[in-house]
Amino acid sequence: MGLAQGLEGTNEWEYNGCIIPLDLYYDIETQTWLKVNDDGTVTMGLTDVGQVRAGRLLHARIKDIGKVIKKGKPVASLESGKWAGPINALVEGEVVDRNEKVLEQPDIINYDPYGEGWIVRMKPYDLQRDIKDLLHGKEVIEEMRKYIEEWDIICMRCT
Amino acid sequence: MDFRGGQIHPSLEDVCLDEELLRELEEGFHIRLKNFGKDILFHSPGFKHYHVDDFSIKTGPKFVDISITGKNCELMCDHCASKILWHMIPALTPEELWKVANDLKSKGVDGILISGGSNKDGVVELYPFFGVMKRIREELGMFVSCHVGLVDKRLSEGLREAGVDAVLLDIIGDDQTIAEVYKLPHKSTIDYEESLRLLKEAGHNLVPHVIIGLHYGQIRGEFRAIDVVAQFDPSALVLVVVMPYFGKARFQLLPPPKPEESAKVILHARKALSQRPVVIGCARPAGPDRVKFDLYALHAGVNGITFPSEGIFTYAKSLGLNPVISPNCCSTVFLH
Repeated sequence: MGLAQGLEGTNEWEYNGCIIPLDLYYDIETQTWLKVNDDGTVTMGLTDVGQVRAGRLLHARIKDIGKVIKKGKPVASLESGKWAGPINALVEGEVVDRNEKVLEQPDIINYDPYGEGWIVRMKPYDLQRDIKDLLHGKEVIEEMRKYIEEWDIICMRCT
Repeated sequence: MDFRGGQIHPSLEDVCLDEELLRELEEGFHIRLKNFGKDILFHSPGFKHYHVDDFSIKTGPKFVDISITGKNCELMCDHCASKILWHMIPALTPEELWKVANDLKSKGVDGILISGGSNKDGVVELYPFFGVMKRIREELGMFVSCHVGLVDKRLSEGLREAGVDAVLLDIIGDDQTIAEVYKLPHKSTIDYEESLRLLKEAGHNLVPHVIIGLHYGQIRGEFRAIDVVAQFDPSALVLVVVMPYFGKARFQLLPPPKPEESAKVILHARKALSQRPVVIGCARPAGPDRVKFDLYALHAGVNGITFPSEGIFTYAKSLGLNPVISPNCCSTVFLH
């Protein structure tokens, strides 16, 4: 799959079957994504690569609405048979919404990590400060490619 | 010691425990303090990436599982359907096992658990692997444990000659469970007892496992299984909980026992094996009930918990215990 493929016409990049929407912001190490919404809030979730590494998710816990979370601290935790880990807040802020569907059926994340499988929505305290640490657009591609190759990941949505 | 004076991690704020049960469990906690002191092991073996807010292991995998049958199991018990084998590294021949062990050693792995699926008599056919196991121990210096099924004299003595460090086996205390869940109507609790006897006679470090809720989520033979295990003076006892997700499709909606019911099994084990380590193994379902299970386990005086739920590590410290982190399989607890 070429680097340029996915950049023409559509706003996503695909590599080894892994879909990376280019309008989102990413933390590569934790494989989490962030979307800036029109109302100034941000939505967060696990990437396609992240859901493959975790395997079929069996349990999810998300912080309550109203909780204030510091950047880098867990706002949710996920667990599968072979993986358990936190979803760290990519921005400092307040939890304003959480995906109840994910709490009931965590493997929605495996099927639709960027859509129905979103995890939490937060109201950031200083978005401009925190977003500087995230990758966006074309700069995501090289780092994500390195990660996919290092961990030898092939993405599949069936679990 | 004030059990309810412990520091509460934010993740435990909403957890409600049964006060009467906690008072009952104090007996177990006193047994652990008297006979084992304050050390408590928290294991995180390398087959699973595990990271919660107050517990994680930073090193690479040190202890992993190998299956000599890959994903295959002839029994396909209702509670497992071979899924427990899926995360294991396959090594289907002695040559493959040697190659896999060398590869793991070069990556910094110090110990392996060798297991596999059972044949229709409940036996994991490890016979061709004795020689390689011995080489792995002697030439690579690795810790080798075997998780077996039922054993005969040949298997028990072969493992002894191979010099394996510990032998693990699931002990079932109810004939109906053996017939229905394990699909072994021609076997009974006597066969499991006989396996323990053969292994003990061969001088093995025995680390039996008892699965809480094995009979479709009900507690049935667990107390008897523990009593049988206690007769053979094991090196340690591992308690695990049935995991519905691992079962066959039509059993996946059956809930495991309530943590309050499981706590009574843990206390029974603590009392029956007051001089030997009792640990909580890696297999138990995720979710809010696991937090309660782990809390009750701490109060009941277990010697270790594998993959502790979020907040448990912190809570153990606040109970005055001294947490010891281990990247190994919990079956190594007797070496501590």
